[in-house]
Amino acid sequence: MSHLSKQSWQQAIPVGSLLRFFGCLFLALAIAGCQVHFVSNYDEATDTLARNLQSKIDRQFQSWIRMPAGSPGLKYDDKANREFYAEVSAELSVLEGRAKAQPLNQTTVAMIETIRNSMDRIEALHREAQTISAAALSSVQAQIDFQFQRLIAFELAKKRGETPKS
Amino acid sequence: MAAIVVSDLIDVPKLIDDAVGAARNTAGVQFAKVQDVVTTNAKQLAILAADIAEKRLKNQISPAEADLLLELQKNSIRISLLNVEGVTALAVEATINAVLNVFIGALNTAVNAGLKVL
Repeated sequence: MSHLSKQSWQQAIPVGSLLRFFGCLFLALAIAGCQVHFVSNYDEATDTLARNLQSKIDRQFQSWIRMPAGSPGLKYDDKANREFYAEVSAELSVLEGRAKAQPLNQTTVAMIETIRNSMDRIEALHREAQTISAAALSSVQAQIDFQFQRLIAFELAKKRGETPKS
Repeated sequence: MAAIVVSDLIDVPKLIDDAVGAARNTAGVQFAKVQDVVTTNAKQLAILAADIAEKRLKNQISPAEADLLLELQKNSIRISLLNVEGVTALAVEATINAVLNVFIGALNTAVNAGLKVL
C-alpha cells in the first residue's frame, strides 16, 4: 500500500465514503453517549502547585528588588539564593511530573517546560554576573508572572462549561 | 483596563492592533472563539516589549540583562501561543460535544417511554 501515490489514495477512498464514515462515527458516538475530549480535565493539584510556585518566585524577586545594589544578599553565591534556585527547579519537576501524568495534557506540559527554560536562563545570568539590577528584576518578574498567568488561566479554562476570558 | 502608555520606541496600541490583526487573518472563521484570549495576550505582550525597550534605551539594564529579557519575551510569546492553541482545542471540543448532545437528545426523544438509550 505504501507505494500508492496521493492520487491513487484519493481514488481508493472517495470523499463520499469518508463523509459516510464520519457520519456513522458521529452517530455511533451519540448512541454511545460519548463526549469527545481533546484536552485533559482540570487538575486542582496543578493549579495549586503553579500558584504556590509563582508566589514563591514573586516573593524572592521582590526581596531582591528591595536590596541595595551590590548587597551580598543579591549575589548568586549567597547560600539562600542557590537554595532558592534549587527549590524552584525541584518544584517545577514536581509540577511537570504531575502534568505529564494527565492524558491529553501536552499543551500544559509544554507551558511548564517553557517556564523552566525561563528560570534556567535567569539563573544562568545570575550565576555569571553574580547580580541582577532592580530594573531588570522588575521586568523579569513581569515576564515570569505573565507565563504563570497563562499556565493557570489555561488550567482554569479546562473547567468545562466556562468561557475563558484570558 | 488602565490606559496604555505609548513607548518612545514601540507604539503599543499599534503593536496590539497588528498582533490581533495577524491572528484574525490566520485564524479566519475560528477567530471569534479565541478573540478574547488573543487580545488579552497581545496587550500584555506589547506592554512587556515596551518595558524592555525603554529600560535598555535609558541604560537601566545591561546588554546581558536586555538579552535575557528578550529571551523571556520569546518564551512569553510561546506560552501565549500555547494558551491560544489550548483554548482553541477546548472551543472545538465544546462545539463537537454540543452537536453530539443534539443527536443524543433526538435519540432519547425518539425512543421515549422511559427507555433511555443513553
